[in-house]
Amino acid sequence: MVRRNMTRAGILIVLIGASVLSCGERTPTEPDLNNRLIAAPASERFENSPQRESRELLIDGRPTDIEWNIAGDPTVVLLKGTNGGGGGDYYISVRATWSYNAVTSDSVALYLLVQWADPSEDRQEQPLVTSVDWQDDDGNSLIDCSTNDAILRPENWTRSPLHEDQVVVEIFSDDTGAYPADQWRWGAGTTDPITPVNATEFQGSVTDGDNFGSETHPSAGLAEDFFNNGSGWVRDAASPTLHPYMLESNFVPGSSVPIFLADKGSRDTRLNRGKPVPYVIWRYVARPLGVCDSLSPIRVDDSSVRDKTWNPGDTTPSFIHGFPDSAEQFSQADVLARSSYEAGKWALELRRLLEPRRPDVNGVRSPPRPDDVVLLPGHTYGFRITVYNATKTLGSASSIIPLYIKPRS
Amino acid sequence: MRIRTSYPTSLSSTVALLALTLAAPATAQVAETWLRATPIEALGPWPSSRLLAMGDMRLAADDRTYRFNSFDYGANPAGLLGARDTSWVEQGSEYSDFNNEYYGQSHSAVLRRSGFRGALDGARNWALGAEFVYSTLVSSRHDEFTTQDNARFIRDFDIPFAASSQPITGDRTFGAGVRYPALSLTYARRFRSWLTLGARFGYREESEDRRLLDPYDLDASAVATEYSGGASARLPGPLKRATFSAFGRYVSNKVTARSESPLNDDEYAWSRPEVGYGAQIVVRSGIVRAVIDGRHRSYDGEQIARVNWAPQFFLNPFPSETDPSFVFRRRWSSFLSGFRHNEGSTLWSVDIPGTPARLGMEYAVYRDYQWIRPNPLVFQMSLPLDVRRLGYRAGGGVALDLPDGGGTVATEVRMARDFRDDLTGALPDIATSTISYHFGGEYRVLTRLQLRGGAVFLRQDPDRRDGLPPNKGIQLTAGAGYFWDALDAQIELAAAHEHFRFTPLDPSREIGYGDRLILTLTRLF
Repeated sequence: MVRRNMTRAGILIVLIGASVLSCGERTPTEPDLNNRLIAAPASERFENSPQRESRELLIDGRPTDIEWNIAGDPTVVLLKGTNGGGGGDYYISVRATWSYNAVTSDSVALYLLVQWADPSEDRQEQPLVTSVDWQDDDGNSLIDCSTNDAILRPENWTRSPLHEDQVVVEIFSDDTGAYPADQWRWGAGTTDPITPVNATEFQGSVTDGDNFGSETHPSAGLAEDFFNNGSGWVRDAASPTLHPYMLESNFVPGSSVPIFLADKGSRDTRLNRGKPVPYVIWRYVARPLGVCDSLSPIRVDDSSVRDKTWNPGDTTPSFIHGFPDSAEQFSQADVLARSSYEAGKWALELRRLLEPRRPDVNGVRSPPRPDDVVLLPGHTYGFRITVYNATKTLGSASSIIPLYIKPRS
Repeated sequence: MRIRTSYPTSLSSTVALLALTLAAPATAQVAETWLRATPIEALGPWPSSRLLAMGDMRLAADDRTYRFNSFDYGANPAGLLGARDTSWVEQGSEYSDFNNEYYGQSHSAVLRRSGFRGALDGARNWALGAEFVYSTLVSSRHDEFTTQDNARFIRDFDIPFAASSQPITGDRTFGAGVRYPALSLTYARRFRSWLTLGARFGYREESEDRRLLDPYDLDASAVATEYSGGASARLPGPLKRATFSAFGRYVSNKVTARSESPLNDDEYAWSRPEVGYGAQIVVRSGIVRAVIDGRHRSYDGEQIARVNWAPQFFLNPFPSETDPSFVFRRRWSSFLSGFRHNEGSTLWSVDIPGTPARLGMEYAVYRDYQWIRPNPLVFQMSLPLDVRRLGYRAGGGVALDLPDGGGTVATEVRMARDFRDDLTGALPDIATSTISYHFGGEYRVLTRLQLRGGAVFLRQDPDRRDGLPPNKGIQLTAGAGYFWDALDAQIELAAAHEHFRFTPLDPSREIGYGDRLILTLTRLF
């Protein structure tokens, strides 16, 4: 009897075991992609070229091996539409480094290089489109502005559905996504061109103040800066003045009629202080749109076009651009960002002080700004990046990955 | 082969039964995926043109494809010796199409196949069977997941399907053409008067040409090689009218997806070897014939990706500069997958004493669990899947033989239900149901000529829980059989046409139709 029971039990065990029998792989056999971002330390002025000349990592949108090799191999991060609102799935490459002052050893800034593929360069953010035709093909005027205010009529202006390419970087207090957190928004058309104006080329910029930062990062644009202490994203502190932010709407709410047009101002010879007219209206030299403004700035800036007047489909930006007032004193201009687009690939460089603060006063260090996450060497933060490819909502985002600020050994 | 009951026609249970009698490797593959949620079966053996012409009978009327032996019923190679009592060869060709616009989502599929099968009988001591089938299909489907029909096609798509680098804002039509030749060799030998052993080797190769509106082009192919062994033993004593059969199977199964262009060369190799085993008890007494069957099959698998992207390739995140360091060359594990299937079924045929009538009954229940878990860190190469299915089918019918061998009239009813529990939460639980009423007959016009006809009334409910009435359809069938002396062979031809309506929106509006043509030529030696 015992043997019979043993036999039955044995058969049962064999059957149960066989029911889960399979011979395929049950665990991954290949190592995962590296999904950890390590910011390596580097001197603010470093020497790693064969010629041993002194170099500085510039935020100019032109990443070179000499600048970025110090960050090591790039981390390849998968962006997924399911994380970001319905965009596509693709990879981006991210490199990170942080700098210190070689003399004082003070930590200075975090640098990021983001590269990704994009079949099209999209820099216009909902431009304003006119239906006005000022001249016929023979050059005869179709509008008498003394009796016809067509250029100011709301029915002659619409807002285009075009959107710029955007990147949003979020830095969380730890790699689980804890708050407080920082968010930096870069837009190919809205924030990228907000670069300092060279005072040698445009002398008026000294008076106007749009040469801000031209001696430190002359080619760097800006990114918008937001803060979240756990109760939602809010803009970083801004000056309570006429122009607290870098972007202002160029249309009256409820209408698509532009308020300003790109201009060259009274002191300059070049239109819009050299800024790209199709997607920038540089606030310091802009002028209000008048009823007799017959010239379309994008045509004025294009020598290949003979008819310089408004034609149906002509656009003008829906924002005016400029530096935030009192940029040094407030937190709106903390993040430098500049991009380039070449052969189907974007390259975006970003920089922010590890410990953002106001300029020192009489040699006394100012306290850190309260609306920025302070980054400390030796600590790990959460990093998430979202790319919007010519869309406002259909983004592609990474998961929150660790960002390790590797200390100096 | 997974047994499903969610096909929107009465053929669902037919193909489910036929699927049990596979001669080629049985793992669900590329072709089956592209025909999912249609009544067309990708991998079944030759369907019986006689039974199709008689109103798609399966239970009441008897036929060779439904014989009570472990080879035809359970794909046990040892059962080949008892399947028929002579050598035979059969050539068959089949055309099937299906078009459907349920909830405005148009789907269509066309299958063509042709091949030979047959067996040599060695004086009842051994048998050698062979089969070769060449099939092609064309399928056009939709890939939107949040449709009102609960994404009936894409929800169980279980071959490689790459994520898109572009936003997907709506439904996309995509499709494929698939070619898949298959062959098998089966050998069975009697070693004792009560014991027969058998073995089978099967091979199938599938190649797909996918049409997808996405710049990342991908085509899948699959190779399955089957090795089966089985035994069949006649039971002693009072059980001598019953035989007990058991089999085991190993299927080497590799699905490979490739994407090639001047700027990339990628391969996604998915190995998912399958094991299966089962047993049957076959009873053949005077008036009762029955099969009781139980089986299991399962696989685990991993897909390994090997990508090689030139700097200029649109998915490569590095700069488009011709520099070896900017080539994106990686190897990673894309996903893990698994499948478990357990099934039990029984089929009975009872002659009613003293009458020319015969009863047929069946019942089957199955449960399976399938998962594909993509690696979240890498480019997604398959839709995530984590689903449990529980289903059953049942049916019964009666056939009446006409006097003097003049023919047969028969009727039967079959039903099938399938409960789908989506553990990913992407879809609600879905319960599909099919009920079909079959009426048909065969009339022997001449000694060598038989005419057949039938009708099937269909009730198919894509989801019993949605509160909507089922789709209604009708299938008309007709056919003929002729014994041609010159060839000493039986020729069978069958045709079927069906169409469906959907009641709530417009009772008169047709939402689907399908056709089927089968021609077979059989010679016994």
